[in-house]
Amino acid sequence: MRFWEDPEFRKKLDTVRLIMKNRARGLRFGENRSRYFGRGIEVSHLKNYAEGEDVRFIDWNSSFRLGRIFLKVFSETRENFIYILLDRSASMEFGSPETKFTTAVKTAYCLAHTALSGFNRVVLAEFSDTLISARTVGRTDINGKFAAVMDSPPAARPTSFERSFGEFFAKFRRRGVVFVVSDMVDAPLSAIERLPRMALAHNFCVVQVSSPEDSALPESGEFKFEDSETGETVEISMTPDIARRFAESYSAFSTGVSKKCLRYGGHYFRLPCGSDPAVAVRGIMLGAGMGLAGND
Amino acid sequence: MIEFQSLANSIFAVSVPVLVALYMLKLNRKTVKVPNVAFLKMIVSENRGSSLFKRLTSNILLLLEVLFLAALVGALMNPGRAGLSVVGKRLVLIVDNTITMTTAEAGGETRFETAKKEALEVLAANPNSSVSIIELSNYPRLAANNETDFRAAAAKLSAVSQTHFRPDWRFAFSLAEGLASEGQNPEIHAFSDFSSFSVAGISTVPGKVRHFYHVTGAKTRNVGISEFDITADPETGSAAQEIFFTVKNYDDYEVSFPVSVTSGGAKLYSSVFTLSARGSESKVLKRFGGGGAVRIEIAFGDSMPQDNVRSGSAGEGDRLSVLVSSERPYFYDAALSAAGGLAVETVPPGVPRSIYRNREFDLVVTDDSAEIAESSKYRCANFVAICPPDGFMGIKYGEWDYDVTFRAPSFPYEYMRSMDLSDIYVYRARRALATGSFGEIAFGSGGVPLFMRLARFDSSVFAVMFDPRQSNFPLKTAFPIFFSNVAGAVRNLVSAPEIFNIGSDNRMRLRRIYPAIRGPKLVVRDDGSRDVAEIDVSSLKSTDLLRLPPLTATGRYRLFNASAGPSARPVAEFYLNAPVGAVLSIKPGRVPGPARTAPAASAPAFEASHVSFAPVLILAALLLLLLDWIYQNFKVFFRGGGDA
Repeated sequence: MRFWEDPEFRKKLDTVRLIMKNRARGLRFGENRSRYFGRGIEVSHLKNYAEGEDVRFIDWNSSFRLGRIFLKVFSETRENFIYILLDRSASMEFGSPETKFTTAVKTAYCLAHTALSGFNRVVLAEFSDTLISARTVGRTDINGKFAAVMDSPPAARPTSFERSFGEFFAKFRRRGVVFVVSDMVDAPLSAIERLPRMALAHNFCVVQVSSPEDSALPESGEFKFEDSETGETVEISMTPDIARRFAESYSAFSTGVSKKCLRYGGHYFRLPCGSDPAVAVRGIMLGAGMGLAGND
Repeated sequence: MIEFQSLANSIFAVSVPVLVALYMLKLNRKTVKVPNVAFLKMIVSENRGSSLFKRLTSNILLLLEVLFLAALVGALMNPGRAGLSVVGKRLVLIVDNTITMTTAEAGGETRFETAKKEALEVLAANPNSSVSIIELSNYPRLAANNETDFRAAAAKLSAVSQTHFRPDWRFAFSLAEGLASEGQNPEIHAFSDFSSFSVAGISTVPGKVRHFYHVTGAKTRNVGISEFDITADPETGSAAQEIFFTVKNYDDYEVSFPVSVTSGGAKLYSSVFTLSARGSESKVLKRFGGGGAVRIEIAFGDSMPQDNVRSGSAGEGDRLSVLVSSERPYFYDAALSAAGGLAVETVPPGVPRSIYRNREFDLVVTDDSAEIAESSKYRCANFVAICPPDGFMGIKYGEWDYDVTFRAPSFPYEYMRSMDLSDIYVYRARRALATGSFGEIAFGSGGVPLFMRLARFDSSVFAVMFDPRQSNFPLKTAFPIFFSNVAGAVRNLVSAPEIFNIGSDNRMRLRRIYPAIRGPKLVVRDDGSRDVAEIDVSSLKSTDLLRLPPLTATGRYRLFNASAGPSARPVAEFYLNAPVGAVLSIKPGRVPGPARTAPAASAPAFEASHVSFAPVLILAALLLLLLDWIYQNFKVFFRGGGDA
């Protein structure tokens, strides 16, 4: 059974709705406010009636009171572009009770589902050292497409934020909201440097999936640590001091990513692997200021 | 050379390979895959820098620990400076102060001064020993007895003065043996030029007492003054003095040289001496008025250096290989075959004889004048030269002499010892004259030499001065005996003498031992299985001579392959005997008076123990331990400071 077929999961997921603060720029109808005027249910302002215009939208109350004919102008609700960047690098295979990749996929599913519920356009992009794939996800095929993602394991490739993000920005120029679901770790630790460029093009939210292996090492013994992505090895005699310093380094790095996100108008959410994705997405939405608690 | 007092503690050196093994096990680390090593690389300083540096630094810890263990094991073995023996010995030093020791060498230092310096070095090298010093003169005198104070012994040694007497080695060694037998680890050291040395009456076989011979002086000028004395003239009264001296030639050839005698700076006598091989000449001069030092000077011009090269241990074994080089070889071939025990090879007619020169034979028999003249170009060193040409080794021929009767020799001819020479006569022989280069000469009637032998240390030339095929010499019986005896002499020459002498340039032929040599080096071990020297044989061929290292102790020595274990069989062995009595030239400048009184010994400063390197090694070990600790903790300090 897929996780999305779980009734409990569905129930939790249905309580989350996505409301965007930014003006939607999509061409199609949606639930988000846009800068366009036209058909809608919310009156934006009144304007003088001109001959030929639809008389059904005449605001009779104002017309009688002021002695002129006014026409109601509605603000349109349009779809928004939601980009979900899913990390498929080799480092996502770690984690317990489930891998970071599984947690990331679940989270991405929840994000996509929530976005689709609000009549948004969702693009699911997978990356590692390059942009592996980018496909539009619709309400009818979301399960199928995520099933395909789930069935293919993470690529045994390193992470390159520079290259994969560059390809993504070149391909998707329409402004939207980018959710980066990743452990944010690559060999040169360059994820932080990519965030300013992302802030120029899109609104963004970083969901950093973490596992115990990211920050915890054995406190004693002789080890040869092999990088899962590059194959690079480090031989070291572990001591409690080194283990502590390793954990501190990872924590400092995560804090750095978080601060950078906030500085450039983005949002940051740290997600330990194994977390309930529905609850996590709700947290993400609230944390990012765009979530809405439903009927729970 | 460093000597170890506690060599058994070298067993702890096993800890070094154990440490390396443990280090290897440590290197076999458990491989763990992690999401990312970027943070680890930031932490671990080992991963900074070039890969070469990484490799080096990863082994620094092992290097430090191995050095630490090596220093510790070395300290446990308690090494000391070579020569500074920890063993208390009974040393008896015989210092030659006879007349020949007045010779001034090229550096200006007399042999006596050199001998005293060497004796002082031996004293300093044995701080825990008791020392007796014997002055060697015509009546050996005890200069110091059972002295345990270094300074006192050195003072007494320096008080030994030069004399103009001749040595009495036998008495000196008897005295030394008696003194040496009193203590533990006895050793007798003789410091001399060994000019009149004779081993007769001296036990040179190493027993309880070890003999060391320290040879001083050059070995290339072999004409010297063997006797010198100044006495009052009994005939003319006390106003006149008689100066008596003897000049002797110890070379194997005749030499001529000018001799001058001065008295108080004034020339008293001047002449040119011509001395035959091993000949001597004495002079008695008179001087009136007395006073002033007498100086006898020998000026050398063209005297040839002594061929002091000895060799031995080259015998092939049972059969000697003999080459017959003659136009008509059948007679010699038959005679040699009848002699037995010889592998005879004949140069075929028409084949150039020069191609045989580089082949290895033990004996070459030839009647070819050209080949005899070229004998120095042969690899073989032993020749039987039949009718050598005029001029060969100084031979000069005269008229023919008929019916030459053989005269029985008054001294032994080894190679003809078993021949009955009394009845032998030769039908026809040319009158020959030979210089002193030939040692043993058998004369015919009228003083005509018939057999001559030039004997050198490593070769021999047997000259037969007549053609046996043209005489009525009893060929069928006598010549096989002659060849057999020659072969015996050659066999003795090439195989028996694995005996060398201290002070000589001793060389051993490699031919026999060459197949047993494994590796580039040989080790010389004495009877106590102690390594005393190392010889590099990597560049030597089987036909070369192996030069033995200079050794000072008599006794048996063995050569081992350096790579072989302690229980391996020796490659060769040889005996080292006392020096041969080679007399050397001297220039006595002054005849000193009686020996001065020895100065009083100064305060005792005798070193009670040997200078051990163990404390230094322990300090080094502690330093290495400190470095090891600093290295292991350096990263933590450094990184901690960086984070702060």
